[in-house]
Amino acid sequence: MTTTAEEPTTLPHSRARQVLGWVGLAGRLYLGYTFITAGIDKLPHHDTTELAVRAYQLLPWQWVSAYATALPIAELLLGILLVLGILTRSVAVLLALGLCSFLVGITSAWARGLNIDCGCFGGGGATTDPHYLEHVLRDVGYLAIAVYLVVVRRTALALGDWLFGRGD
Amino acid sequence: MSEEWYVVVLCVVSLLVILVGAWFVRHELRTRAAPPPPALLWVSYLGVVAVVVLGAARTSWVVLR
Repeated sequence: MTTTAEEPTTLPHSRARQVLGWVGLAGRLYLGYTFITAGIDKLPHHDTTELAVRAYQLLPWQWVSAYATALPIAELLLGILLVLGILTRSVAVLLALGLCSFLVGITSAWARGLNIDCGCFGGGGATTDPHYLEHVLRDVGYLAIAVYLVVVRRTALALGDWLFGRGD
Repeated sequence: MSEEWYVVVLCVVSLLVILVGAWFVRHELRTRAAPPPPALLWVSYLGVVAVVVLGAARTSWVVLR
């Protein structure tokens, strides 16, 4: 009697959670792939990445080299963790913070009237044709995916579930 | 948008991020069946707050100088 009364409410709920989990998997793979690509594009070109970071004129001069070294490594590692589904929510929080910092960098360059390339996937430095709005909208989209991964709690096919019994 | 207004918007958004973060940590502790240790969550939250505050302060200084 109790079972039959619960079935109609629990089954659609669990199906909805499954769907959300598969959507989360798609978000994980897309965002993870994006950050892996960004990391790989920057990693072998330290000088170019350093030039791109300097162009924003935000960080203290002596910190730029260390930041330009750490950024591609962090992007690569976080991207791999996201694709594998290990510590997904913690990684998503870190990526959301990183994306917020990129958004602040791009919008502040825009507000200051600088003409620079974002250098998000390699390259960077001065340019005559900056695409600030396009980059802001793209990063807001990435940020939405990261926030979704934090909120959804569990995603499908996450290695973290198998290793630790949970995905966060 | 003028540089002054940019800084105002940046500070408001940063404050919102901090408030939403605090709400989220409390929500996690209330609603999860097996939440992580509260101290760990709050320390992580304070780390996020530090990054947001320092980032907003540094950017505001650079934009306004």
